[in-house]
Amino acid sequence: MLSQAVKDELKAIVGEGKYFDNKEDLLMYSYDAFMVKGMPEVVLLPVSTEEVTKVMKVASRETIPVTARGAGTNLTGGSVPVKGGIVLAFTKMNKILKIDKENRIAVLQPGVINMEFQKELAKQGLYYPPDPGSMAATTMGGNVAENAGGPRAVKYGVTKDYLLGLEVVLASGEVLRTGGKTIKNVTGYNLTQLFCGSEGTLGIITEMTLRMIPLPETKRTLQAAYKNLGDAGKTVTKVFEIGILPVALEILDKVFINIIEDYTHVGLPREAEALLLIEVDGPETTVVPQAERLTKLCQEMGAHEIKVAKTAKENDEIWRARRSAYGAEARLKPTAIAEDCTVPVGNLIAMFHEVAKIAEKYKLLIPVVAHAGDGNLHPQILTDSRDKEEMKRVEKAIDEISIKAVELGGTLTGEHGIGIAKREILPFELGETAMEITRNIKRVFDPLNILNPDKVVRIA
Amino acid sequence: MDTQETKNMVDRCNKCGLCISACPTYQQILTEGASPRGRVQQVKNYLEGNVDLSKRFKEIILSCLLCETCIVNCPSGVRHDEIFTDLRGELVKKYGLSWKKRLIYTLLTNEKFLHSTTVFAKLGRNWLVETFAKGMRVGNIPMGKLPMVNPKPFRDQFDGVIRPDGEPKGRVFYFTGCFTNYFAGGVGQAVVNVLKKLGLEIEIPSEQDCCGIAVILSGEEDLPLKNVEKNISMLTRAEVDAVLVDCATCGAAFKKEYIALLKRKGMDTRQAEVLKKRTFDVMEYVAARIDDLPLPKNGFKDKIRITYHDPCHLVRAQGVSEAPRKILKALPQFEYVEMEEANACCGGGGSFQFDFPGVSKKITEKKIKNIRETGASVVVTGCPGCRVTIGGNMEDQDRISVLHPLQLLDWALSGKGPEEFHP
Repeated sequence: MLSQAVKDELKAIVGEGKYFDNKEDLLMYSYDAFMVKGMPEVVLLPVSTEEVTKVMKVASRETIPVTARGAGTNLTGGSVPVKGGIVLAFTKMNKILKIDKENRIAVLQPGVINMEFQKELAKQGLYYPPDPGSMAATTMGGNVAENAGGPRAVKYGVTKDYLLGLEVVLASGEVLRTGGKTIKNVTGYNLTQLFCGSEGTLGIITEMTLRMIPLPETKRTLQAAYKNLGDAGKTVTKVFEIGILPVALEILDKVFINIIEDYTHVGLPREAEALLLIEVDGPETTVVPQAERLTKLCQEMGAHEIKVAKTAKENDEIWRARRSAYGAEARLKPTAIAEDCTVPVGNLIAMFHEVAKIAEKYKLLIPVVAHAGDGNLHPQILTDSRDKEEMKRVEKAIDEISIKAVELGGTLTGEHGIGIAKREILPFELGETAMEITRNIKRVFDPLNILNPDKVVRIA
Repeated sequence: MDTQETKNMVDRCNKCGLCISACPTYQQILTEGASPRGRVQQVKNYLEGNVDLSKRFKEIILSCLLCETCIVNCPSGVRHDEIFTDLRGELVKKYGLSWKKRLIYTLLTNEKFLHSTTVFAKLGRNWLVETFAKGMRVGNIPMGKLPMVNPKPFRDQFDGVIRPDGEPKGRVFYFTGCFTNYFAGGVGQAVVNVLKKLGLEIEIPSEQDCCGIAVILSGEEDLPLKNVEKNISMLTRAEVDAVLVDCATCGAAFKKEYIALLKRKGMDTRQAEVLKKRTFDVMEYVAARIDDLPLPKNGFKDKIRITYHDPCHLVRAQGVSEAPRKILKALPQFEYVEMEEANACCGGGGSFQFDFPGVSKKITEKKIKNIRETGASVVVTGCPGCRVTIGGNMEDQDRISVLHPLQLLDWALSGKGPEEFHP
């Protein structure tokens, strides 16, 4: 329990309107998009590195848990204050400090919203590709802390591939600067990347330097329907073999095709076993022949219905079906849990079959949508969190899916993170040696275990 | 309050957060308590007994503009407006209404009073204000920028049915709403002129009452019932081709809020469904018949640049966005340009601008910035509330007129050149 004196001290740091300790507001920082909740004791909305430093000095002096939070869209509980204490919400620390065209870098505060950043760059013909599904709301600080991905990862990679440098406030309140402004930088250990994906357990990100690329001239999307899931899977590997690197390559399974069609009536082929979406970008003179080549490939691989977008509007229409996926499923069942296992692309279809087997075993509805191009599957476990009996089966199914992915040469999570959701099965993939090193790293940065405690790894 | 229905709706929210950044109040305040997800979760906590109807709870619920942007962005189909209107009802039961709101709502639900008070208001507004009180403000709006009261209530000019030249091609009811009747006679005249040119026989029912939406959305459920029942029975009594409204909010009342209120009260909604079916915004009705209007041929030089603002109660509550653009693009004397975020709320939100003037002002400033950037000299919109908010917050040097789209259409039908346009 925080004493009134400590609360007053914290309030004085951030000021009125940026401090909450009343029940109504605390409740609204007790959750993110995951199922588990945790009540904070105070919520602070800092606007400067200096304020964060002062807060961390108090927190380490008093051993108060501190959970950093962006927009609270995390799917694995990373921003839930399970140990109470302070929530540091960065939504008001949201300035784009610099867009440096000459050096192709941008410097941002952590609360900048991904989509707002993208919009600002597009005005200047610049591009920051990572596009997590929640990009309309997520903050860039959260994106870095979770190493967020997205559909465009196939061609452009994920957040870490654009991260050059960081300013981090350590548990003690000291300010650490890592990396720099250049793509090439091998000076010392790569501390920048250590923080990327550390889920707020090693330090508080207060500023980031990101690289940008030129905005591609145009894009083309095509949609191919297959009666055989295996044929769609083979197409995924073939696309690369014929020398095309698509921006995105997505698969929807039969269950998804049908629930989306029930909801949107966009005219998806209900009889199809799989729907493939492929997008290419670049100059008009490149993407037009590429789209033709891809159409031919899909036909050769057994697609029975192919649609190629010719305008931006038609592009959007094709993507609308994909984007409707989560809305459609939410109308079917009250709770949807987005799984996030990832396998080498060659094992993609094998993983689809494993998910289907697990769904049957536990009598659950688990449609699958996948970023097929990078082997990242999102089996969606559709359930009702109020049904305690079913939730037990759900938990077992989640663990089994994750473990199966690792057995197929993949990983527990591609882009959603470990958080609370996968903490218990983390050792299965890492092994004891890596777990001990992970715990030791945590101890170096956070000896008092106050930074987002009990996430990723537990420290005794 | 229908607890089970609200509970089911609240349970649909899986806290994904896709609603938050689209919310105009969140964009300004940047706290979870000013976001749709936060408000829904707050209601969930209330229903589960974790919080009561505290002052802060009230503030969280009332700080919503009811602009419905979150509803469009929600993948799970949460109807935030239904949840919050329901809770406003609970809040009114506990806290009552402030005397100012109670006075205004009493006026709005009593047509005779309303009629006579606007005579005093006319004295107050047009003469006293011009003479003494120009520097005072109502909310964010200087008194001097509030609309003038019509010299005579618009509906009083008409007696019975207005007939077109020649054989009528159809018959419509025109529901003018309070604003056109008492403040914007010019809009009413434009509507009548255009409908006549379409060959329609127009009846303006003289006994129409205020649509009551301001009162309904405040959470006060009994006060507006008399208006609702009277308007429904009056507008469904005879066979007409359509009931036309020139006000986004009246349209939203007829198409949506009347049914929702009657459902909440457990009352019969059948006649309300009939009214919903026959109600059209006048722009929807005219856009579908735009080719029947004798617009001059193109060929004008130095066209006047115009832009359009989508009112929440049209674009989201009624799904009307193409119709006004179709009309505006058909006017040869004007050049239509789209503003950035045309469908973003103007910040008015009915009583929101009086309850939260600081936040409201910032949202309105963003809207006005987007209007300025188009370089337009006229901004048009189909909602009197938006026109008052936008017009009232413009600077004098902006020299941008704020009108209803049909006023431009009516003028364009005159065939005059752009150089003769002096709004």
